[in-house]
Amino acid sequence: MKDALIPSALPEEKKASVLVKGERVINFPLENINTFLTNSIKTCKYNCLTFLPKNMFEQFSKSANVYFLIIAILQSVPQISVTGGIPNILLPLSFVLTVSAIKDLLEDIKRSKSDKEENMRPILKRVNGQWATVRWSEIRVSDIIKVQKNDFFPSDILLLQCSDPKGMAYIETKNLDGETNLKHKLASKETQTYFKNEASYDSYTGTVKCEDPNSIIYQFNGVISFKNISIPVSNEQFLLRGSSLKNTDWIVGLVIYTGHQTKIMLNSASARKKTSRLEGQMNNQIIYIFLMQLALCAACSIYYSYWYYHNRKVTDIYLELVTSGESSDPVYQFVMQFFTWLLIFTNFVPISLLVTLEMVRFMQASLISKDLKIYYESDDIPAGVQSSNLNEELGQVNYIFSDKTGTLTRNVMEFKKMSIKGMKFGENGHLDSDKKLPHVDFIDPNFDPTNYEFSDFIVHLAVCHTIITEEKDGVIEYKASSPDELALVNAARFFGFKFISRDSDQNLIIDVSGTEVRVAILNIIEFSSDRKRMTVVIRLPNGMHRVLCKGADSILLPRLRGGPYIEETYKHLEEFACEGLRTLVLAQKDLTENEYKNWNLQYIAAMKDILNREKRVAEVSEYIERDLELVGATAIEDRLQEKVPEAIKSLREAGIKIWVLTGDKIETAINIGFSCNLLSNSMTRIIIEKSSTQEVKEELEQGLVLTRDTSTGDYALIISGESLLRAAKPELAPILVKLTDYCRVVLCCRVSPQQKADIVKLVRLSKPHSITLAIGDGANDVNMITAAHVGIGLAGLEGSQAVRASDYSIGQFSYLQRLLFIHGRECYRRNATLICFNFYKNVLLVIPLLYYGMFSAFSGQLLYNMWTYQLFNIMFCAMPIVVYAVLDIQIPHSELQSNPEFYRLGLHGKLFSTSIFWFWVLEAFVQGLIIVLMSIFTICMTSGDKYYGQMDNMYVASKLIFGLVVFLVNIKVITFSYSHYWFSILISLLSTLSYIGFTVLLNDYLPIYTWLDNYDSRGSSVKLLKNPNTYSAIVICFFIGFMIHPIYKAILTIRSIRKLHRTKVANEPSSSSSSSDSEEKDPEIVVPEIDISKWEITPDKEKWKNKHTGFAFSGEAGHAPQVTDPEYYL
Amino acid sequence: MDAEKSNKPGNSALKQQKLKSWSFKMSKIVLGFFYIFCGSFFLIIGSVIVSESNSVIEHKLRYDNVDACKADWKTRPLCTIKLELDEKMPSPVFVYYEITNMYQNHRRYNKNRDIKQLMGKTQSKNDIDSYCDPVKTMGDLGLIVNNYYLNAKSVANPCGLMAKTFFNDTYTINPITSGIAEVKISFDELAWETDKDEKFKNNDNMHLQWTDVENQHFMVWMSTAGLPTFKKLWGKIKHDLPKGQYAITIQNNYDISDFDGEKAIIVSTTSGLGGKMSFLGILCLIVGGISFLGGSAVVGLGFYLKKIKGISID
Repeated sequence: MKDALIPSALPEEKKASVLVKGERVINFPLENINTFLTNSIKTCKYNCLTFLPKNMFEQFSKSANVYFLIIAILQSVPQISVTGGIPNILLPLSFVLTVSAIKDLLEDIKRSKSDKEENMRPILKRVNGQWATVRWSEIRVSDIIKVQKNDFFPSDILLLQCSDPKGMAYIETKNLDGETNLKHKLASKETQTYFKNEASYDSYTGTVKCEDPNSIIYQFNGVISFKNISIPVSNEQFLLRGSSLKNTDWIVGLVIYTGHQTKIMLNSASARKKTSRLEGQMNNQIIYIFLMQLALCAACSIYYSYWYYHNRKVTDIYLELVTSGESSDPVYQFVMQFFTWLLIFTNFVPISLLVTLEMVRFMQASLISKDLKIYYESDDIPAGVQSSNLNEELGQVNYIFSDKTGTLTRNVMEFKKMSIKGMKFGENGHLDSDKKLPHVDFIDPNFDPTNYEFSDFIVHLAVCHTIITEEKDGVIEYKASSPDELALVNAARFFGFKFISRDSDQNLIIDVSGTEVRVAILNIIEFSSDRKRMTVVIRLPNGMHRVLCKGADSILLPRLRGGPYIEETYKHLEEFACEGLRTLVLAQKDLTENEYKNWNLQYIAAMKDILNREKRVAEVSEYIERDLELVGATAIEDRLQEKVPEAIKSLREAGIKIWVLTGDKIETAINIGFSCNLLSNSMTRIIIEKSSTQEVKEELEQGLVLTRDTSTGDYALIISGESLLRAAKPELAPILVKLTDYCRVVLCCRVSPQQKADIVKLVRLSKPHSITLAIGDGANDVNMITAAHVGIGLAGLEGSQAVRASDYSIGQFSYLQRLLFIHGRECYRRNATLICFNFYKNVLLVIPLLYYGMFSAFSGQLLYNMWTYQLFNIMFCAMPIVVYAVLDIQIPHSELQSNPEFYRLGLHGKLFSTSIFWFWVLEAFVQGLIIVLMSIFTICMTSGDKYYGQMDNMYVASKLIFGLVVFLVNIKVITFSYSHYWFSILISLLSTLSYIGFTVLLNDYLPIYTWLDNYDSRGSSVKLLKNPNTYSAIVICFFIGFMIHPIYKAILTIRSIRKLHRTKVANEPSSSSSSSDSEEKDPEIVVPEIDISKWEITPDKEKWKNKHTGFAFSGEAGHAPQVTDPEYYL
Repeated sequence: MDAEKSNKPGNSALKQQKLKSWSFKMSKIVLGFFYIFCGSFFLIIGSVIVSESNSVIEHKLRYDNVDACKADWKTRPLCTIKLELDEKMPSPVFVYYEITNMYQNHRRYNKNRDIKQLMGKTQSKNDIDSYCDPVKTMGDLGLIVNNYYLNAKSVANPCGLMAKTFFNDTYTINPITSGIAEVKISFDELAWETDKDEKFKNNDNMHLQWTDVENQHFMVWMSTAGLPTFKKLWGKIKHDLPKGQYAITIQNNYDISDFDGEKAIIVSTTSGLGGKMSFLGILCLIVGGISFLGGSAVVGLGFYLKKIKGISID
């Protein structure tokens, strides 16, 4: 180790284990039954009584809803009310609240159903010397329960005894982490024997001391004491709720944690809510719109106060403003008028926007998950959407942070090459599929597996692993937690050493050319990401003990005793790494009986130390994992997923920066980089791998100087995890960010899960205008996925943790292209338009009232019927935009998919900005003006009746104004839609007709009531329809209102043509401006001064281009068969 | 794989977004032609509206500033003005009055009535309080009450500012040199059907009312005008008015002097599109013209660029 790593580099789990302080002490039988929680769970938020208050409280914690509630209160104040004291904003508000509440209720019913189902499940519990069937919810801490084969564990329980005489039980944790392999659990020997007789459960008294409930899944430490003896218990005896019993007839266990204190429940805390950038921008605009509303209210009120002051006397004859004795104080008038206008302008803030957006996103999400083109047939994985409120974010991604293994590659390992005793075996070709074993793709006619020389190697492959087997229909299936091990064991099988199973004594049964051989496994020291190696101790038939160890070269090579072939093997390892293969070194050592016994005592002591077990086991294992003898090296290929290079190419052409974050070594990463099109030979690679701050700084500066010279083409930055720790420090981070700006590709190697997240955060922080996307498949990507703006989980072999933490999940990396290019881009485009349109339609609805103020002394005349006004957003103009936002297609999907240029639209945020937003608002202002002038002058200036000569009143004009607003709004959707369906046009038509129908019904057929507000406007809608001028007004209003935009566009076109023409004349070849778009530069980043002269001579391109080689290793801790107490089997 | 358990999405057109759709994409040239078409359309409509409007014969006579009516109008309200027709006005001929600068659409004014009372229901003082303030009692109306049922403290019926300020000028038209004996002005079709049928009903006990709400002049007045300058129908002449001179005798009661208003009487015929209105027709002509020229320019430029310079503008 060089200088000390900062704590954040430690794996998350370790940090957490330090955090659990408290201790739970369970005496049993329990004196007080209420000491602990019951086992019933309740994930639903509401019940019949609490639903309404709770849900309303939640909804009214949104500021928009509070705003509308205040409006409702103001509406019921008669002095200022424009609706006759009727708070009719409650109509759309309650509609919006109801829609949200129904959504919440449905979700909650679903939860409550599953709660009920869970709580009602039966389980056997020891009651009065008998096994009684009780419900899960009736289980309490310290109960003794019996779980049968294939049943789920009702709570977190301590394994006391199981049907297997040795105490071995198998469990499946599919529901917990998605892994389908079976895991071992082992009852402690003492409990297993003590409880042989069932009656002993009933007389049993004792204590369990363990950790307080905590969320760390793979950790449990405790002591169970009875009859004056204490037995340490650990994760090996700990069965989690959510997992199920397999291959074991029954187990008996002691309930430790119940209900909401079980680990799975503690883990299901809801993730932080992510909000899309578009939504953030939208919220800003809401504030501006609201400010504009206040300003307009103030302006109108000031005008009225002025008018009032000057005209109150002269108009007294009919308004009696003076006579009535009302206060003539202008301030009083201003305040009253201000609130009146506030009520009139209420709809500037679109009441239905959030609900519409939510509905639309939900439907968009279901279309994403229904897309057959991103459905992964071979694993039956459709795309999944966990948080649909990020749909539009997918269309604006600037940075992609990708994991490598399992994300870019298949995570299906195939044994490809090996090196034994200085000899390299394995050719590059592929094996015929009929000869092929799964996970083996080895060809070499020169290799003779029966040669005695190689037997050590093959035995090592067959023995040193943690795989367990399951027999299904006579076929042996290997269940492995690490795909690398699967490849190795299958390779052994390929060479004639077929691993059949483990027997109950943990002997491995291996079929060597027809004869079964048993190998006694004494100890297994698991793989962990810190140790980067695993070790197995076996007893040889001759009584000797042998240590078999495999691991990463960097770890194992220093532990070798020294020997003849190390040099050659190292060379082979380099070659393997260059080809992008994952390498492992195998080593072994023999121990004498005594040596082993001494060591084993220490090992057992270490295992019994509950608090420091991991640390002590690591120390003890160091003792036997040294002076090893080299056995050989293996090379495993992890093939790229389909179409990864193409997808990466397209994504990069779209202007997205791709960073690969991997745990692999630099060399492996570089090779993968080449094979998936990230790197090319024309690129200059800047490699930063030093491990002291000063050196890293120098390397960074050197790189920065190098990139000044733009003539040499593209640059790629490759940085190791250790260097990154330093480079990400505050003083160096600006240089790093600057350097990455110049590099087309960034590869980060040897990074820990926490570092992955840190890198994402670094970019988020230094590039506040960028959107980051993280994609990964494993538990180690979870941090990164939650840290990024958008997290994508790849549903793959490594369990479902990444998927559950993610916002979207897909089956293949290449689907990302379609997800972004088609769904993301289109959702961004449509949702941006949806938001603008929602403001547009509300401004267009409200603004005629402002203009009409000019004709009514800004007295606060509410021109519209108040119910019609409130139905606008939930009936007349609600649906067409929803259809648009879900189904509109601007460019055929095939073109969107194949042409990355189209993605830049969202990348540069071209569809939603303050200026675009206000252009929409401006359009509404202009159209509103046209509508008001047209309607008022057409209707109120003269009679529209040939035979009766009757004049139309204000209400007829108001019907026309409102009708034109509805008409224009519904037509507007059609004008900006790119694709029209029969039903979309029908819905637009019906929406418009619904207004006519409603207004005719209200004004001519419904009886007259004060609260309906239909007295004054009685007959006005029919009058309007009978007036011939109405139709001319509609047509011309429509024409003027909508033809402004095309004219404006035509002018732009002509200008651009003239420009083009001029450039052609000047004979300048027009450069493709879009592709040379420069990256946004952030002025906030201050790059420290760099002394260029210091580096002027240094850049030695050849040095950077040197090919490096390296090695890889993967695996996961926690799945070894739990053979920690070898004495037990003796 | 278990077919039932497969997560494979369905292959329907909706789910795969393959529904049949159209898009109206127009090339710039086609758009130009579209503008020419629309322009022509509006030019035609505009011409029709203008010619219809021009066929209307309308005479507007302002009388509040005429000497005969101005002097001592409060004590001697009767005055006469002259109407000269240089062509025949075919029936029906409508008589309107016009008032300017009066905000009937002021928020305080047009809601100042009690709708139940107008619909014939007897309302108590409390009932009308929130609607008719400050004109709630007969006293508030400032009327000299001669009906013995009514006194200054009883509920005003109809109440409210709007009713109180009911327009009460009246007109009679007498032919002078036109060859007809008299001009009959009828008042039976002034208000809307809905006004007569639903909105205005006299109380069963007519004595409670200070005026007849079923009077169509009242109904017309109560129908809020949309602009501060408004005209309202006052009468209908169901026979032709031949060419010649007429004398209009005005009962000049209504006070508009405080707010600088003007009063006028309008005698007008109608066309197929109603009364005289140049605004809409002229607007159509202007818009049509601009659209036609704009469209022609786009088409012309498009062809020019395409043919001569080889540049496509799409």
